[in-house]
Amino acid sequence: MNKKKILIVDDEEGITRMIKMALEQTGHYDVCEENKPMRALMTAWNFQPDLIILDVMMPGMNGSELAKLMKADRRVKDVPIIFLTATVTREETDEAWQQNVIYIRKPATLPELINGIEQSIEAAKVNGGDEWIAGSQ
Amino acid sequence: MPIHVLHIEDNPGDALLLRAILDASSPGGFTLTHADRLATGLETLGSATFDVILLDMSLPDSFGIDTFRRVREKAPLIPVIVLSGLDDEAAAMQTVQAGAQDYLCKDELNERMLARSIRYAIERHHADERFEAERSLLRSVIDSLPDQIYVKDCESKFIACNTAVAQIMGMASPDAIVGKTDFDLFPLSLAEKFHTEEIAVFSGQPRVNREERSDSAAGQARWMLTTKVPLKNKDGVIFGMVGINRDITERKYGEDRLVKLLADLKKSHEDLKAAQLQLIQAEKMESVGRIAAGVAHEVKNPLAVAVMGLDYLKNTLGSTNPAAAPVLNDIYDAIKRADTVIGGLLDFSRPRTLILKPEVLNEVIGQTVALIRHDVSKKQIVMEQNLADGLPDVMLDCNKMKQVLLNLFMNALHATPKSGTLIVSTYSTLGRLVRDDGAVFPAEKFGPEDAVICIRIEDSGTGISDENLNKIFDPYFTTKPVGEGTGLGLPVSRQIVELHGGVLDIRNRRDGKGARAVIVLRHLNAASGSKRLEKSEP
Repeated sequence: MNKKKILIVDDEEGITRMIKMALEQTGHYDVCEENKPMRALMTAWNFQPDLIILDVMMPGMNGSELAKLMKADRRVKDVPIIFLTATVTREETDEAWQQNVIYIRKPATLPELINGIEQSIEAAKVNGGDEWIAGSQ
Repeated sequence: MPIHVLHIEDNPGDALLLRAILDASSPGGFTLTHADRLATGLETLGSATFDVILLDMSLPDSFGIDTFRRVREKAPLIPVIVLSGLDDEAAAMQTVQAGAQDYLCKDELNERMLARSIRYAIERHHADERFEAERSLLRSVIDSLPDQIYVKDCESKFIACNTAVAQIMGMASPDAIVGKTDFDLFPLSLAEKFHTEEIAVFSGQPRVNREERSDSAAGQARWMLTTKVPLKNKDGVIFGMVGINRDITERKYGEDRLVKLLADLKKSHEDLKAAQLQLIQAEKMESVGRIAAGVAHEVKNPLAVAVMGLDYLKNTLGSTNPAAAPVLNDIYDAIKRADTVIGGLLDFSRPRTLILKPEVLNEVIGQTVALIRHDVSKKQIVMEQNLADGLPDVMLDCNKMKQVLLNLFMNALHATPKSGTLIVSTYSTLGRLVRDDGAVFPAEKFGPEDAVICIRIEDSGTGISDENLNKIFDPYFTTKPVGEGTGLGLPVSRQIVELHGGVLDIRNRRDGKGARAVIVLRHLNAASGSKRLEKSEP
């Protein structure tokens, strides 16, 4: 079975390392870490992920801006994105689900993360990627 | 300067004799004009000035004291010496009493006596004039004063009073009052009161500067500053009393206004203090809010690492080491608890926007009550609902308000012992009645006549201690045991209620049977088509 390629962009090394370990331990995922949001686009070109996980609050560039950049880039625009964030309350997460923007609250359990990943990838396949609405927060 | 003398004498012999005596006594010192009849004399008085008049009592055209009176009438400012015969000395005395300066017996006239008598008469007259001028001045002063001044004798009869007294009594002049007592002038009860006071004064006790209510003749309320002091002669014997009344009605009204102003000022001060406390509280919230976002972020990231790591460990260790599972679960629970706290903090610090819609208040209450049914029955608590009928709709963010109600219900349940009572009431009322009930809130929030709707939740617990009453809205203050509450429920609830434009007031029940929480919300105004407000305070 092909492993799915996941790019995780978060300025905190601890987070990216732990997520990588946990996801890869399941055997279904191949994870690339990126701690510098400025480099994320280039890393995405090179890694060609099936899904990108973005932290929202990062120094220099926040997740939403990065997402917009990615959606505007022809090489990466069809890749589904989910946001992983510390600053969204449960309420806001539920509302975001309604808008097809997937926010996952930190601290997320592994099953929650995997659930989000799989749903996103499925949705992208169905919609062809173009109809995905980027979070405009 | 010669002294000009007018001699009215019908007997020519007497007239010549007198002229001779005068010349002899002081040559050139006197000029003498003679008139042999009263009529002539009076006429002469009209055409020339004299320093003194010598007047014979018996004239052909007038007799006795009448002669004097007519002269006096004609020339009131000229001293008169009356000349009499031996047989009318008594009448002559009368003239002195009537104002003549002296009388002389014609048969006993001599130079020295006449000259001296004339000079004395003139001097005394001047002295009288000075005396009269002074008396006049004093009288003017007393009558000019706006204060009422009066003098009474020891039988409380008026001896004298000024025009102010006459005016206030509605009399034409002071003379209408002199000789009367209070019993002639005032109603019986008042006269008796004055009399009693005066008895004390006559015994030597002055009454100085008493403030007394006394109404005018027209029935208007007036205030007087009264003073009554005994009058003593030079031997120290009391022979009467003098009283002064001053109208202080204006001053009194001024004082009343001041007292009221002071009360208003005090109230403003209280309101300011309350507003200040509110501001301080808001500041506290602000500070907490400001750091909350930062703290949340800083804590959530490590928690995220921990949770992810736990899942990893569960998957790797879980299969090989079953004993590890409970440990991992405990760690997981701990992390979840920390996350809840952070979540609460974020929730609290997040600027809130409400989605307001007209809601039926009692239904919202009902829905929330349904949520706590289980906890209520578990503790066998009796729930009493006094929900008023016909309450107008209220603009609410339904979810947020339910959150508040739930918070308050849970607090109440927590405070109430097994088999206790929980009462929830809704009613419409007026701003001032809510204040009367003990709620404290800034004046601008609700005016005294503003129509408001209240939700009241009362528990039957032990109430809130005085020291805690000030702390209950502080973030993280809680009386619950560790792990059972974040201490953010009330601050968040208050925030939500205030965003609705309302007030959340929590204090102990008046009957001392527990605590009560009241949410006061603005009434939907008539323009939005709410139902007519009827006071339905339970």
